[in-house]
Amino acid sequence: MNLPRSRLQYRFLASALAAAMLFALIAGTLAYGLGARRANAAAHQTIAGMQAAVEKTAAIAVFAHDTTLMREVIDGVGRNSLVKQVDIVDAGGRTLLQGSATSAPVGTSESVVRQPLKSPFDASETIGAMRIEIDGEQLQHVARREAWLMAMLMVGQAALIAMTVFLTGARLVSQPIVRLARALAAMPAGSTQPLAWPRGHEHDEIGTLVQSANDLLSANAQALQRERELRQDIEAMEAQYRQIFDSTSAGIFVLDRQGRLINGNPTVLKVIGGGVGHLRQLRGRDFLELVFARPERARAMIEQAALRNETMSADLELRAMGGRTRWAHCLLSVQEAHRPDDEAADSMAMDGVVEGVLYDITERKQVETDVRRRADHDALTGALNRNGIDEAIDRHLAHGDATDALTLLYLDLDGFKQINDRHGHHHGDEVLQQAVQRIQAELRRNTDLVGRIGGDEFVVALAHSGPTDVAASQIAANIVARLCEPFALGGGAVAEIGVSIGMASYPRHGRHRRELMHAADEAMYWVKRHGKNGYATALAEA
Amino acid sequence: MSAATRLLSWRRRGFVASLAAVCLSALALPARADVWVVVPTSSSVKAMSQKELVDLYMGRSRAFPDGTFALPFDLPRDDPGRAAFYKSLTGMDLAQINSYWSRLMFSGQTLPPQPLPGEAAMADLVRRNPSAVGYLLQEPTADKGLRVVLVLKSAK
Repeated sequence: MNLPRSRLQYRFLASALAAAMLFALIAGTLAYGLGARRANAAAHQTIAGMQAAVEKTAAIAVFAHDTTLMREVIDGVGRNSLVKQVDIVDAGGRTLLQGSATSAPVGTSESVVRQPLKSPFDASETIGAMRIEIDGEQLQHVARREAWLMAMLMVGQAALIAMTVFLTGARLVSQPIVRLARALAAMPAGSTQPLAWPRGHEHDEIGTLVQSANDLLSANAQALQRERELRQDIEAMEAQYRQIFDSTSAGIFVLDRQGRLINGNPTVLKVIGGGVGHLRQLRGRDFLELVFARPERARAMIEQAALRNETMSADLELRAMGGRTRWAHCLLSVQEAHRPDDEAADSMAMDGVVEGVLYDITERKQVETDVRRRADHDALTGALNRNGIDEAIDRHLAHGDATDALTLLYLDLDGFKQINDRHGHHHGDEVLQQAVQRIQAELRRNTDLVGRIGGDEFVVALAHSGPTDVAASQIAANIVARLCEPFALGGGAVAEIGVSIGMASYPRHGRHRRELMHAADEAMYWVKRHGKNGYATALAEA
Repeated sequence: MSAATRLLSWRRRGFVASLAAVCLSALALPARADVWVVVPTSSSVKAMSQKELVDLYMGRSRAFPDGTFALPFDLPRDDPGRAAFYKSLTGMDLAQINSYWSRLMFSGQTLPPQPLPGEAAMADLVRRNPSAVGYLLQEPTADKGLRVVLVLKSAK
């Protein structure tokens, strides 16, 4: 017999035992009562039968007054353990013979059986009676024993049936199920190993259970396989996207509507330059403020993008991180908030997000600046070229009002041609470069400009200086003095030149560049004709 | 013969009994005959009831109704006359009577009436013993020493 090793079997056994015990209790109780009644009835029947058996003899004994025969009868009857006392009385009720030595208390009517005795020769004549008193204690004892026996039989039967039911159930149902459950529990997740068939259960419900479980397992395995393949596909795709996201030359970032960084790719860091070790340090901080030199422009773009619902783009200067000015082409678009009824919307997405792309255009800007510089400046001396100084003067005249004065100095080097002829162009270039440096050294502000407008002709524009401004004359005088000093050239050569300067001021000598230039040029020629190495202011406009 | 009488007692009275009686009458059996109960003329007993006679012969009583001692006599155990007598007296056949006595004799306290060799001896003994009582199958008309106290009609 197998002891219950599982909860199922234990419960099964407990139920079977409980049912059996209940049944045994009921059946035992009933059987006890039945047994007691049966024993009682059997006792009375025995007494009655005994009485019937001896009736004739007793009657004869009474008829013939034969006490010996009476004694025989009484002894015979008294031998039965149920009989307590036997009396034989005559017709008048007198006791002829008493069958027990014990004192004979008058029994109750139930426990005394009285059998009238008829004359053997005349059935109508009653000649006496036989009284048998039943031993109540003995009867009860017998009845109880009988009742117990019956009750025990019922209990035993119930227990036997319960045990049989349990063993059969355990063998047929619970054991295979328990084994099945253990096999399932021990099975590692994702296992495709089918369950073993319990022997003898191929065609019943347990077989069906195993079949279903195996079907489920194989279906599960297939689903897992499919899922794994799908996941691999998705992972590969994600890796590709991640690769693109990480390695693209565009910096991609996502901000909330307040401009705080939510996420970005590594290129963002490259675009915005050093100073920030990791993108994570930027997360949650005001990206616009940190990155752009003029964050208000970026904010304005975001507002525009939200308003027009389209992508805005512009070249924005980045906040200088390493001293060098950096530029980025920036695309900004706003993803509006999800509708409020969308349950999936998280707090971040409630306000919408800003998606941005940054391209590093510092190089391009540099090239642009260089190109513009080349267009505006003289390659040899670094001073503005003719075009550059013209534009600068025009800009000043266009923006400045009538009170904002401007003085132009028209310079023409004296003796420069001889240097070229004597020392060669190479040394001529050196003289020109040094001359520009000396002129620039005499200037006061960065708004004062130097331009080379011919081989040895220069223009100096002094902003905010009128014709009465002593500073302008002083500058002109200083320039003359400085340029008259000898120039040390490469190879130990020394060259000397002079300079003639004509001055003209806005608005006194003209309202336009041409008039001013012309006036200054005239004044310069006047200096040349009158001894060189000096300066003169043009005459006031007629 | 005894088988025939037993048959009678077993069958229900009526048709079968009368048929048997017709058959048996041809044999002139004593079983059909009446029985005369006699005492000596010297006895004080003048008449007896059948019940009184049963008490005497079946061992219940040892005295006549008037109190005088009674000594009943019987015929031999297998005598046909004895069967007729008990049949008429108690309605029982000899087997039943013998069974009855065998129980009483077992105790040894009560003894059956003393058997005599035959009717002649019976008549002779009764005539001489004043306490005696006996029975005869023929009416003792000529015998002056005997008095008939009861005539038992044969059972029909």
